Amino acid sequence: MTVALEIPTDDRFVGLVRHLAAQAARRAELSEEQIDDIRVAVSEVVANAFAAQRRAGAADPVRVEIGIDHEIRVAVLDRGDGVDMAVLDLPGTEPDEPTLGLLITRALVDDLRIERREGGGSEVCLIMAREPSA
Amino acid sequence: MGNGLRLEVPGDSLYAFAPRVVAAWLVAGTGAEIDAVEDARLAIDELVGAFVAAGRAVDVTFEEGDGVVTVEVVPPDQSLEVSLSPLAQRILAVVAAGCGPLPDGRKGYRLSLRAGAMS
Repeated sequence: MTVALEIPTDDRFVGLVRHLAAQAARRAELSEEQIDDIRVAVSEVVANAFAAQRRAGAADPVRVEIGIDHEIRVAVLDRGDGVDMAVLDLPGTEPDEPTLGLLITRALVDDLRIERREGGGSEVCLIMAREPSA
Repeated sequence: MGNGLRLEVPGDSLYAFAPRVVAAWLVAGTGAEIDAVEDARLAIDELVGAFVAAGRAVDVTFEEGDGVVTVEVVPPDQSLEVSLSPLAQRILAVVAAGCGPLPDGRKGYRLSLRAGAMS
């Protein structure tokens, strides 16, 4: 079960998604440190989606799906020019801005998956699980 | 959708926070006073809560206007009736600029939230 938000490509909505994801993370009972990490990670992914949509000239809304369980799962779906997970592991290359954003995201979350969407664009999914209580 | 936002809310109270967050964020973004933000949160709770508490999913669309944020709450399953309690209607009459059934024959409600003047 997920809640899904569709937003126009407008940078001011990065803040809304960040806020929504943080509230979802609270309901998943993540720690404050994890919630901070989710804020940063979601901001990077949504900003990347907007940039990809602009490069591709896509007018479709960006879709954000958030699922809450013992973990939080955030999927960001765009109709941009696509991103390949393999670029994150290219050795010896200076990362461009979108790649840097994804590298930061991967470092912050438990799992990061990137898939190409049928019809064009990408689905970037990040997962962070509740820490076991001490 | 135009320049608006669309939210798909499942029929589970765990997710009822989402429309409240979006409404508050949009109204606050217009520079509205804190009372208007709180009114928006209350209004959304009353309206969306009527559906979600009954286990009904809803699609919620938000459109920003000058001095108002217009919200439409529409259940994807149009075969079932959901009505607002008299108490919910009274609360909405106080905290919202307007609320009533959709004018186009679909089942659902249109809500007007007081906001600041957009620059």
